[in-house]
Amino acid sequence: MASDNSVDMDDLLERIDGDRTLLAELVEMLRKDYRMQFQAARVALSKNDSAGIQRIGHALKGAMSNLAAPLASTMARDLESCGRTGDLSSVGELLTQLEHEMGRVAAKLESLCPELV
Amino acid sequence: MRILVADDDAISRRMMEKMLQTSGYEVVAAEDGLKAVSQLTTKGGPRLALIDWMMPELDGPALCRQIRSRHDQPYVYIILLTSRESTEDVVVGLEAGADDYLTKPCCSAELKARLLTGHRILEREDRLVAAREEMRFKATHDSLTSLWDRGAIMSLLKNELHRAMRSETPVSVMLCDIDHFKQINDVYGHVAGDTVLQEVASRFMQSVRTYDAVGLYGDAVGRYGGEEFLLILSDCDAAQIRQRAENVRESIEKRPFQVNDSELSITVSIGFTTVTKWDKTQSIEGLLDRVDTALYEAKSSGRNRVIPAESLALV
Repeated sequence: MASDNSVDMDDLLERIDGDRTLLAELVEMLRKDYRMQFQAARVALSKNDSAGIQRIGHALKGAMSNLAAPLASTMARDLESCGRTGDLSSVGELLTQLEHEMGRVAAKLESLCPELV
Repeated sequence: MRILVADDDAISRRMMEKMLQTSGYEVVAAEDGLKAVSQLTTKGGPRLALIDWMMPELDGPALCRQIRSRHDQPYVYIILLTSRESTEDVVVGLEAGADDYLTKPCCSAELKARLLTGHRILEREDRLVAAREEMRFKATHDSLTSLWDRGAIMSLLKNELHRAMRSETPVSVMLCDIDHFKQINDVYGHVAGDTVLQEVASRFMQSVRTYDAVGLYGDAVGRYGGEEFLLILSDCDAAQIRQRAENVRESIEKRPFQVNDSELSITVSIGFTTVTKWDKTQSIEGLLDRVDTALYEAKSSGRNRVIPAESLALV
């Protein structure tokens, strides 16, 4: 069951002007593209590639901010910050939490797009 | 109006794209900085750009610096997108050449308002450029015929001879004079004379290959004196010039000129030469003297004809 606080729906719907078709498109992109982002992040972590972690964290932060997902956005910001400072010790755990939270975000958004369920 | 959205995150890019399309923009999207630069530096590319600060290949400030380093293209109004929590220094972005910045995620109303500012700046820029180009045109073109004026065509001839010298290619020159022009003025009046000059100029332009509007390459036509015109033909060798000169002469003779209610038969005389080798020991004045002598011969031997000057080839 999707958490009620994973997405600020009022904020999001205002931002996309209530366009549910666009929302469906965004959810599909979220499902498809971000699996690859997490794979890339784990590869970057295994190579100690802090610049790669920073870049992926930045991109996820932008996406989650745009989707009005405050917790996921904060986690992505922390990921970006780890990449920037080069301290990757907590990145593995952070990725797991972020992936879980983004799953909740996707589920919440999907609940508004019945054709996708 | 076209606008570029550059962001490596697909969702952010799509949302921005949709927001802008709803506002009537034609959106061009780029997923990294290099692709964004490529789009912006393409001829006719977008003049408005929303650029994410952090992107693969080239980040926002670096992109701004690249775009600002180019002075040969229309101005691009750039808005940098930064993160609300970011420590990125906005000053760095503005110093790199960004016109404005917005924090992500963008509020639609704020984005539209800031883009309106961009529109105003670009419109002002376009008006200034148009005014500058008009002044530049007036400073180098004859007001009656819109051909290059004497100073400009002489300057083009000098440049063309030096270019031909470097590239070892020939260049041909024609000096054309309207036959009995004084009589046209005397009989039909100066307004009619002006009409004839304009029509001659128009026909000359149609009979040469002016494929570069600024005359940097291709043929050029200038008003050399009252009823004298100088034509410069790039890459036109001695084997081609006579026929080209005949074509120019025929372009005037073949169709009568409509002046007021009268049809006038107008002809021109032409002296021409081809320069196959040019060096600094030769003078442009000497070259034009030779062509002028050939033109005089064309006049004295009956008019409405083309006469070659002695070749200036040294070998």
